Amino acid sequence: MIPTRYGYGYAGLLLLMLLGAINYDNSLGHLLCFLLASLGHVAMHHSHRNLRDLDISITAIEPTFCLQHARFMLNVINQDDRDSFHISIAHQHKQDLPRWQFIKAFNPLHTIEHISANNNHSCSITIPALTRGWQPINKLRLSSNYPLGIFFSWTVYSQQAQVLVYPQAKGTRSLPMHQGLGKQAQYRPKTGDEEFAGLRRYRKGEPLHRIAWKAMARDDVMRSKHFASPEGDELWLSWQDVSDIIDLESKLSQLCQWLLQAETGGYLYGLDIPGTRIEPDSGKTHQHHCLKSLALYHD
Amino acid sequence: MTKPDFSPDHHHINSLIVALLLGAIPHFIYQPFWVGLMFVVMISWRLLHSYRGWPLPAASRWLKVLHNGGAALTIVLIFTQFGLTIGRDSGAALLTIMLAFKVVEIRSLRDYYVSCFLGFFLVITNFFYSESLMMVVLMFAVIILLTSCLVSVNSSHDVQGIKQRLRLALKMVFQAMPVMLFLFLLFPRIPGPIWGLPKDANSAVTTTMTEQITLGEIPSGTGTSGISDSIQMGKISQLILSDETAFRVQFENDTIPPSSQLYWRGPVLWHTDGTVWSPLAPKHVNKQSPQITHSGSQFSYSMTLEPHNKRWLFALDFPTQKPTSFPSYLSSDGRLNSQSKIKNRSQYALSSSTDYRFNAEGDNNLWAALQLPKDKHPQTLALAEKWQQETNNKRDYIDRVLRFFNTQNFVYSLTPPQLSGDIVDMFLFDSREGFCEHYAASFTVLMRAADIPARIVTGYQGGDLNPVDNVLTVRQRDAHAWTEVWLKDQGWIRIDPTSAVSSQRVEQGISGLLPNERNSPRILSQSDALTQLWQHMENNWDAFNNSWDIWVVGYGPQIQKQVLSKLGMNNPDWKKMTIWLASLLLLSGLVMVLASLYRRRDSDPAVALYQTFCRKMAKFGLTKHDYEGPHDFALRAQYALPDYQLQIHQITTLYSHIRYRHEQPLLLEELAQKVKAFRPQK
Repeated sequence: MIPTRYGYGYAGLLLLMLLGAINYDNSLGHLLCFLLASLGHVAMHHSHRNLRDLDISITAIEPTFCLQHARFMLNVINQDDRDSFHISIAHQHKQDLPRWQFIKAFNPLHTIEHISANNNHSCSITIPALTRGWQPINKLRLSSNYPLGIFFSWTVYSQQAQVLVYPQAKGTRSLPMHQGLGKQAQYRPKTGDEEFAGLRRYRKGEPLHRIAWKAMARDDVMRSKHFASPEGDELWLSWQDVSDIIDLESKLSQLCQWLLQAETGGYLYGLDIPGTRIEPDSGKTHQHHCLKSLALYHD
Repeated sequence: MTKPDFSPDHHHINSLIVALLLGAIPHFIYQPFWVGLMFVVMISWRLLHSYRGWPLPAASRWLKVLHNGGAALTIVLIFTQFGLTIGRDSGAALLTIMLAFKVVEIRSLRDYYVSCFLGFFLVITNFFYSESLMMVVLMFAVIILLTSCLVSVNSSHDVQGIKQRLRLALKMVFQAMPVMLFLFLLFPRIPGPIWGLPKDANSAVTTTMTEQITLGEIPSGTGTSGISDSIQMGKISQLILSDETAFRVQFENDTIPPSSQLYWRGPVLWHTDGTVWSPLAPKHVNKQSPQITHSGSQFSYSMTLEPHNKRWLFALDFPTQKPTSFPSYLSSDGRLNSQSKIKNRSQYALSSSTDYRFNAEGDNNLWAALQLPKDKHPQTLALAEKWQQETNNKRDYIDRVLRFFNTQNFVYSLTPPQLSGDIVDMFLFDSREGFCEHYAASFTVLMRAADIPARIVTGYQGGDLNPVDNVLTVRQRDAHAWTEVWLKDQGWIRIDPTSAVSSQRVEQGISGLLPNERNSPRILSQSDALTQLWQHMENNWDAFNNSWDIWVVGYGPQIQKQVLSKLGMNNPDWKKMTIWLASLLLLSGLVMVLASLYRRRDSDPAVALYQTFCRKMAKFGLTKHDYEGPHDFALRAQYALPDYQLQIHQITTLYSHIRYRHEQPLLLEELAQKVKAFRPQK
């Protein structure tokens, strides 16, 4: 806990008052000065108590792309029998700052005005995703100026939780139609002229438009329609396609962008990068699978 | 940190305005009317903005000019009213008005804090004018309001409404009391001033005795404080109009001399030019100390003197020695002087005996006690000549003069007619109406005319004894002047010619001569019972104020030592005070922390019961570890205490059901019974 700049102002005021009271031999001036000093002391205790029994937990961490924002739910739990007020949540975005500049290292994100006693409060928090791969959430700080604004108290929570950061989706090239492991990948716009191949049980992540709603109405089992694509419809996104890009991150970025395009384009796509080979498929789960292997790729 | 774009809304501003208005009320009384007017105008501007949407100075250039112009005008007004030096009055006026100007232009959080802090300062300026109990009540009210203002900008209005904020502020101020009292008692008091005080620092002194008596002129009512000694006129009669306290006396063992002996000695006047009486130059009276022989019983007492901005002190005629704990000295004419001007309420202890002989062996200044202005008072001198021939010795002569006052139609009057010409002659032969200073002066002239050394002593006579606390309060209206004559082998003898005219004045004090309305409100003066009740209430209130003045307002280095010695500190000095203070603060901090921890523990009755259970287990060396859940602990306990397996199991299950399945009401009672019945023995 440290005094805020208003806290220093308050201290200066008290000093001035004390000098005035001494100079004028004013006993009640002393009394006022001591009352305010004691009030400051009480404020310190209140400020401490406001944060003392708070705890946090993190849930629902969503992966994100590099240089975008990672979103997760922060649950602040008040274990005290008293309400807590005006809690600011801040995230440590810089780690290399010297110790005394710790306030600058934190970036305020959100303010919870009130958490009642023995209760909790959830809020959605976004933090910047800066590096590809598993990014630790770092430190989160709960802080407050409550009640008088003359003391700033805080608690820093170190979190084990990590957020998965995909590479930045960036690149100028179009999808590699006629390349990929020597096989022809033919672009077929999704006009419905693929051959219907039957129903499979719906897997999480498959596009909604493939759900066989009619079939579902029959027996309440969610199925998705599958279309038999000719061999040529399989799109392989491979390391060789980006072999002429020198920078590793740019390579991954280009692959990432292709993955996104392929998914929206309705292709069956596979990924082939050193150490990982994912057979062609489509759907959110498949996409995540591919993006994750890009995110975690290292030489 | 608070959001930088935060700006106080009208909820915040309005509560601030209420607080500041309350804090400024005393200044409406003590300051010139335009100070209050400016304050109200500015505050109204802000309120009109809040409620009617009137523009603020920031809205247009012209309003800004108006606002700044108003501030400039204030400074000019202050300079014209108070002069160019920043003193107490001008400082307070400036603060009051500037605060209102600041409120109008509050836009950011910073402005808001500055206004709140200036509000705290406003409260301390009130104490420079009055240190009464009411002011302290006002202080607490303003501090609570300002605290709630600070809370308001640090929490959301939707969550904490006015009621909650005020409750929190009240609670915080209440919690601040113990430490405030410790600090008040133990913070080592430093005798001020540290630097120079402005001249008007003690202008609370409005009436006081002067060093001169001028006869014949009716007070015009302009003379206020003791700023200048040279233009005083008929001061004592003006003092009689004032009920202000001059000093208070607490006699030890409650032995109080009779009222007729209560002569409180002050400045002694020697020199006269026929109308003005003034003291002897210090070089004549400071050379030696008076020769006093005391006999009879002594009275010990402590004096609490109100500030009068003069050097002299008052003492019961005549002190056995100068005060030990107060830097002072006795002049050879029996005047007790302080080393420095009395600018604060001061306390000193004395003992006096009313039976004494004063410079019986002789006095170096007798020449001055015989001085009369040339070619004045011809009628008086002729009368003295006549009586001198009629009487055999000085004693007879004195009695003759007193008989003259007593038998002729002299009247004691607080409102004598205005005299002109030769004042003493006019008084003795014409008007014959006057009060103590007329009698003292003309008596002294009559003495000197007969070659009897005589001088006027001014001071106070009598005082009101409060039966509640036995404190004698001497007020300005008790001001008095009497005469001392020097007789061979007897020294200076006090003769009070006023008592020859009006014995009531001396025996019953001045209040007997004042109309009833002066002692109680006019409405009550009709009924004796009501007057008595009023007197009773007034006595209690006076007694309270008396202790308040001495123990709270007067709590300075001197009283602090007294109080701390009584509390058991040997020879209090700042080191000991600091140690005491530090330990007490540490203790109170500890109490605060423990209180918050303790409350937390027993908040949930089930937890409290379970803890009782744990304490019982602890007697067998079974303590629940923090990492251990109730069931793990139960398993370990059951293993250690196989005879009580069932009970341990039941208690643990009940506890976990209540805690984690919220099956509260019924099970809680059961748990309570089980825990109570659980008495493991080895």
